[in-house]
Amino acid sequence: MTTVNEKKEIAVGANKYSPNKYSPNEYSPNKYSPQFRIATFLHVFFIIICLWGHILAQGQEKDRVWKNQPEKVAVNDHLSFIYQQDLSSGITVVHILVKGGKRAVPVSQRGLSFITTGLAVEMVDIEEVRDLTQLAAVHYYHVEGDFATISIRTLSGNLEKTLKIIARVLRKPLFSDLRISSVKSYLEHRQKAEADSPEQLMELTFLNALFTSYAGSIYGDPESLKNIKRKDILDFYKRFFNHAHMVISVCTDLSKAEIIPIISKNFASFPPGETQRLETVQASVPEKKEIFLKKDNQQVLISFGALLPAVSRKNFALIFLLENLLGKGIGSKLWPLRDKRELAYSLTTRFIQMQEAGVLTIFLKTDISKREEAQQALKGLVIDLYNQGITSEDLAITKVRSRADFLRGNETKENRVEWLAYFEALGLGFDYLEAFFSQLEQVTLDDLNTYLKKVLDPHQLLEVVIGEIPGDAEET
Amino acid sequence: MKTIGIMIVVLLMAVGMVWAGDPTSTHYILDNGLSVYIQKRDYIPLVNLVFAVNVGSKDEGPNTNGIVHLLEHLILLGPTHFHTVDEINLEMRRHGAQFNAHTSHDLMTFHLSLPAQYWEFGLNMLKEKLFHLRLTQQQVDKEKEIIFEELSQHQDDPYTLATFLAVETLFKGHPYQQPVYGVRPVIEKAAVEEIESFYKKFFVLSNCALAVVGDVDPEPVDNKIRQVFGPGAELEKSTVPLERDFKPVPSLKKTVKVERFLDIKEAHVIFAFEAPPLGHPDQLGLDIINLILGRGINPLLSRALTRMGKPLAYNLQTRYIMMEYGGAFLIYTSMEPKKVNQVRIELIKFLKTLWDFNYSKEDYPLDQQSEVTDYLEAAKNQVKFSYQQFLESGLNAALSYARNILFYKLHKDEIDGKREPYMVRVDKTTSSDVRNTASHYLSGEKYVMVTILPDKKKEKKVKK
Repeated sequence: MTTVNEKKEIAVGANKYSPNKYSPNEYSPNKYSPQFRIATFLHVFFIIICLWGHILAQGQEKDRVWKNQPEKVAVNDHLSFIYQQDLSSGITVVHILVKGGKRAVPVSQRGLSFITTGLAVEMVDIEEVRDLTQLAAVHYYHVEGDFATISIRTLSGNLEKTLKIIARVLRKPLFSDLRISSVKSYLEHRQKAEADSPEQLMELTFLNALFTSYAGSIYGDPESLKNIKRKDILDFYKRFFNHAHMVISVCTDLSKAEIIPIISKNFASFPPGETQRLETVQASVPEKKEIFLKKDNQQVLISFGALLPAVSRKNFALIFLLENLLGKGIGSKLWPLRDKRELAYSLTTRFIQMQEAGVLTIFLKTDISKREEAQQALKGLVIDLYNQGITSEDLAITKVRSRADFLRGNETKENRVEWLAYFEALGLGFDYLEAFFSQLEQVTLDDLNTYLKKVLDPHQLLEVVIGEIPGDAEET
Repeated sequence: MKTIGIMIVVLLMAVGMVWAGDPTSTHYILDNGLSVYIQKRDYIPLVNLVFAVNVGSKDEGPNTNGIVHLLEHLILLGPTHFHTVDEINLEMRRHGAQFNAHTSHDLMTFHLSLPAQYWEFGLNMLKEKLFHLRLTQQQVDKEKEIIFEELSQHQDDPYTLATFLAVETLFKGHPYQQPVYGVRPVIEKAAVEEIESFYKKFFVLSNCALAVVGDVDPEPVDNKIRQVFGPGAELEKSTVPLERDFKPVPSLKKTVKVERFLDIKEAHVIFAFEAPPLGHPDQLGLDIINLILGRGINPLLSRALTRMGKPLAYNLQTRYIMMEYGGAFLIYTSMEPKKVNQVRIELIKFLKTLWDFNYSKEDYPLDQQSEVTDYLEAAKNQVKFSYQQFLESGLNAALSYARNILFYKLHKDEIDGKREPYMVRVDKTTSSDVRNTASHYLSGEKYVMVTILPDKKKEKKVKK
């Protein structure tokens, strides 16, 4: 790149020997003087540098996957938001990530983050409910290990009115006893629904077994809900619903000039807040590595869970590749259990990557009569992969497939804003949305085999079986 | 669920676009009858290819119920005359492809999503998979086992089980009564010859549609399609004209209640009502009611099922299933088992008020209009939102276009200009239109109610 000083120097030279000073036919000896030669050299050098820079920039742009790159826009000293323009539709999605999540809640008050987030966006004023209904705007919320999220989707033309209502509620939520009681009833329902779904139950069981602060249902449990009082909710809200903990990402067809005032007007007035110290996550594989949960279904869910290390730019690419290689789609490593051995209709892998650790689940559902065979086959497959590692061809193919899957997973604005905020909040940076592709390419065979050896160690795998349990096993 | 809902709403809107002279898209019918639609969307470097075949469980009889589903599995996962399963799977992964298929009452669809630069590979692969299938009894028997696993999985899921039972009961006496996934005894006995006769009969290009949506230039894609699927490609399996004679779905005679038991903690209930088929003039009214009752931040049904600030039921969803010869309107919810009857009473009581409900501000005197919720306006905005959302997903778009061009005749009035485009009609819909449609289809007089209850002791597995 040309520095400012260099530019100045060239400009002086150019001025001194500008074509206007010399006629085209004038070949005076001065033209070949050392000064002239230096100036000519600088001229040519400048042009080459410019051309090279232009070609490089074009090349980089061509290599970029996203036509419009996301960028960070400062609203004030405390709040920035991530903006990506996307003209594919006339919809705007605003995603508000509030750092904290399950990790910010003591064991005795599990569910606190969910209750607070739910009440923070629940409309009280009948006029606000009416207006938002008419605008056909939708908002929903969720809680994960490291954060809570609120997503707002609306027609871009209705964005200003929509955010005005939601941000007003979010700034001054009503935590009344009646509303707290209503949300708790909803959470009790969600707890039962979670227990009714084998896959959700499996995920929860792994989290409970492997972690301290990431453990427990986001909906809490009957005991923890009793312990949550109004003052706890208010305190949690004050500690986390501020600029220090907020990451806002926006995908929209609106221009930056249009979106900045809307975001600024609605979110700049939140308090700056102080970064809260969160509990350190303790992650370990328990001594007892088989967990059986009885469920009187036609199928049994058989799963293995592997503990993952903390998130990093490299680790995220590695787990994305490993998940894909093992269990994503036709032709994955798990596929022969369906295709060759007819053991399952559904079989897959899924990772949850949190800031301090994560879990990779590998699972299938099979008929009760095939339980034992499927259990052995699934475990055998993981052990074989651990022992043999993968080949360079495996890696090359998985990179292509992972790249395509990442694109598919980020096609809609709704999904992309979530990833943008997630990458930013977990320290990977919002630009990881683009950098992911180069990170993927940088992974070597040795990288992935080393990671695989670390993660899939058979002695460290946890097994969860949900369904009819073997005669000699006890329900955990 | 969400995707299905959006797809249904968008289905007719997309028709307008297909024939509206959109410069980024092209539609034509090849001499052999294959309908083709190509659209360039360059915001993400992916391409989606969807091949739809007009064959579904409606084309089966009691002795063949499950053959179409089995055929779908075999095409999706089986070998071809040129390559083994392993070779195909490897090539698919090598090209970053995601290949899937779906069978419904009316249709079978195959979806291939892959990086845009591999579009030629995608077209060649679709042709090979769909028209050069190698059927062996060994492959058929293997796939049967997988389908049995699939059937068991559906039986364990309260929502899926309830939907099956509701549709089966509502469409009694019509081919739509047959479960899309088939029945175990038929699948168990299925032989290659039987499957092959379905394959030859229905996999003719005049019974198919192809949609290509993605970051591709339409012209070379068009040329390649003509080369791969054109008359010279000799892909026809049968020369016998395909004739169908389906009658409309017979009306439900009385309210029917069905109960099943699973090892669950909450009760799940589906209320099913007769609804108009695809392309029917009342379809728009039902689309609007679907949005008013079950969508948005404060759907009307949630309000109806709330007492003293607390909901009687959770997870309230509505769904309008449109088929070629009939339709179903489903209301789904879950609750504490002891509240099932109360929810039924409250819901039916509420539905009986829909015929004179004020959906729009216009229904109120001027001085009250600023204080009421305009549900009709909300639904119209939701239709606009759904349409915009549809523009973001290449795969959803390709699926919609493939279905639309295959059911061309159902949209003929709209295409020929005899009926106004969907979005224009949405804007013109009045509160009175909604009331008329609601009173006709959702009066609460006759319906199917399926309840899935938690009770281990009474559990009756519906395996067969």
